[in-house]
Amino acid sequence: MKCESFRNRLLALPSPAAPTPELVAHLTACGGCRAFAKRAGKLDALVAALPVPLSEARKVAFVDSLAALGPVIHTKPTVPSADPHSGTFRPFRALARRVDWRYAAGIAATFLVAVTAYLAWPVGKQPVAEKDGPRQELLAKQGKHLATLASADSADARLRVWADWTTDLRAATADVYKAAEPDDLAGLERMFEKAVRDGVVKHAERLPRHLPAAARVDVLKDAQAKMAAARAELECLRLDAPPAHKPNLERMAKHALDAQEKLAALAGGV
Amino acid sequence: MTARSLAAVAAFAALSGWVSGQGPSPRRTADEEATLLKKNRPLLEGLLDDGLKLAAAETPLDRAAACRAAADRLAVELRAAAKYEDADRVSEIGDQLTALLTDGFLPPFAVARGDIGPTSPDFPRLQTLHRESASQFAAAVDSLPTAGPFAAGPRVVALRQKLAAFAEKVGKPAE
Repeated sequence: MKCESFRNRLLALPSPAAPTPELVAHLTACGGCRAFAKRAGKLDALVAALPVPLSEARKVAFVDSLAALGPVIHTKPTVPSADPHSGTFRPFRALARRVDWRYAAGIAATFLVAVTAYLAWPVGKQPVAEKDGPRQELLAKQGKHLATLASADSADARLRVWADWTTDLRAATADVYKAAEPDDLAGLERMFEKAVRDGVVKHAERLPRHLPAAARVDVLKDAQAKMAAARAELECLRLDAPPAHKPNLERMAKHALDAQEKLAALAGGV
Repeated sequence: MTARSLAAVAAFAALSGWVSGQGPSPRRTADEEATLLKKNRPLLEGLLDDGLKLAAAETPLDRAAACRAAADRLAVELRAAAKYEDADRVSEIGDQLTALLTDGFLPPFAVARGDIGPTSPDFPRLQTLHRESASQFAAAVDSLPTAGPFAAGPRVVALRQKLAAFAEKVGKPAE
């Protein structure tokens, strides 16, 4: 045992005057340590002989006198915990153990790529896209029908366009038949009537005689089916339409029925 | 990283993109449809009449002329919308106009130009149609303002470019 170790152990004892057998072995062999033990024992006795406050009042006065001197330690030192499972970071460490870092790394990489792409995109050089306001479907469809008609160079092609046009007018009517103002519904009725009479029926009547019978029947039956569907829906709409709108819908259904019958006659009663 | 991890990340990114790309439901109420009908009814009725004339046109030249008349109706509507700086309306009518010119006017006009030579009796009519169309397109472009915040809006800028490109494509008739 080294002298330093002996002396530390001796001072750690409750009383330096009663060394353990292990310390006694060193004590007998080392004169320096014997002298140290003797001084330690003497110091211990002197400390024990120091006067102590005799009453609670004096203790309080003594503590107050110390407090009056001000704080001795101005900042509280933070000692890092040696135990990784205790202290401030304990919840984070527990969370970190549960996370699958492969997924986390993947998401982080995706985020990084997205942010980089966003920052690299030349936003400042391009105008920000404006959002379109509400657009009426019927208007867009009419534009397409016009474009189709411009290239339709046969009566059967035009008949198909007009049959589709009446279908769109019927659908637009179904969208507004309860909410439209009378003038507007009357406008839809006028359009439907023209589309049926001057569009469907007129171009059905203009189908050339040289058109193969099968093709002729096919196009006529297609238009006839669309007229029948229009009539059926318009009659249904009439049932729960506002009273002021019922006559419009009734007349529209009648136009569809008339066209249906004319198309049937042109198709040879099929 | 495993293929499973990559697939999970890709699915996450695709889902995020899909969710952010969702817009409001396109379905409108009956009142909203009625409002649109009220706004568009004169135009709709006019275009239907144009359609009847177009369907009655037998030759490519007649069909191109009928298409130009329909385009003129849209151009009037476009001018009105531009005057009131209604960007939504300008965009909607502008799209209709450019679609009608591209898909409706141009094909029969190109056929007519190919079919009708200088000696044809229809040639003067073709020249007139060409000249009127060119001035119509120029007027449509001119109806769009060139200064101010409205003119600088991306939809107005894009429409002006489209109409100018179309006017250039049609060109001017030889004098």
